[in-house]
Amino acid sequence: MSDADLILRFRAGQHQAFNILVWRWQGRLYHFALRYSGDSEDARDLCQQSFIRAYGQLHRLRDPERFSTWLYQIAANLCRDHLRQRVQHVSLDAYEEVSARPHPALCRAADMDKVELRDLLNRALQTLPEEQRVVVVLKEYEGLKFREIAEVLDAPINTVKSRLYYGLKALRKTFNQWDIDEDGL
Amino acid sequence: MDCNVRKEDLLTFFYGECEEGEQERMKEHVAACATCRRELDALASTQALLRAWPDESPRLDLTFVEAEVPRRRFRLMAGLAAAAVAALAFFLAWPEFELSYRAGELDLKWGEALADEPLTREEVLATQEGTIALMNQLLRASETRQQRVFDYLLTEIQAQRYQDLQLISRQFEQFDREIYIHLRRDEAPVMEVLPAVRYIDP
Repeated sequence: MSDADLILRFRAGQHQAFNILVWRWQGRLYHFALRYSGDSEDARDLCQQSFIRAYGQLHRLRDPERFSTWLYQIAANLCRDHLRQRVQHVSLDAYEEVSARPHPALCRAADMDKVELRDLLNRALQTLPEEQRVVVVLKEYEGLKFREIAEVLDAPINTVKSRLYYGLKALRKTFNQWDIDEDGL
Repeated sequence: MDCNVRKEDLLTFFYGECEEGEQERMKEHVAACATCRRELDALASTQALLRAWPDESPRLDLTFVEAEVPRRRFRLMAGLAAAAVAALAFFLAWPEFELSYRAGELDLKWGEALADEPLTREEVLATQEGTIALMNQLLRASETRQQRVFDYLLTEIQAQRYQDLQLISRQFEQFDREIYIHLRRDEAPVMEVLPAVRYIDP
């Protein structure tokens, strides 16, 4: 059963159809929020808030075929607002922790275990400006087309491509500075 | 970049999203352009590192619970049903009529003797038609309700099945982890003893 079918069933009064949508999309949305926000607890909250907002606004979605981009749009807006609030409270120590260089012994990807590599990549992503990070996450991890990302972020396609280009370039520079390579992946 | 290719176009090519014809043209250009090849290699290398962060298995289990249905709706349905039963009882007590049920609809016919009753024939016929319409409306409402209940149960079953599968999957993961821990624990003493074992020829 497609997402659009489930939305129609939900609108017809079948409440459980929304839960099927939630179970279908909660993993994707959680990972999106995790890589965007950089924190697993925040990601859980943001994921939950996204579905609550989607539940309240699903009747306003004109084209049910656009559900996935609409859902990412809700999550992206919530993540952005959350990050902007968090920036006001972030301490200098936390900034230094994010931008700190990792220990040289951990720098070959093949020598790191999954948790170390995940933390390192998370820290690298968090060094990007928020508008570049969201594009990198939507493209590299969520696999959206440029047209879909432009729709989610309500931005011109060329702006999306430009942000992605500079985001990937900045990541490459960070990986080089941290002496991280993909040998053995 | 030294060549004239825009970074946006190179990215579009890298992700295979060029329009028809453009992908081939870019491919030919890249084959001849060392700058673009270097750029693409760097993109591929960055991408490989990023993708080394796999998805996890978060324990979210979000479930939305349906809000309580207002009682008013049930009271309205009960009122309609009571009115229909009263109307039916009234017509069943009347001597000159024939009630039949065909192809999912009720049909009511009146005899000629009613022409001399205090009510006019037109009034009775109008009341009769109203009753039949009401009964048919109730039958259709009942069918629609049954269909909705059926659809609802179907989605409930699907949802439950999904939850069960998730639970089974989690239990298997837990089981795997425990087996792994036991194996590692049992392996250690065996590995200590093994080097000391000598084959003795009987």
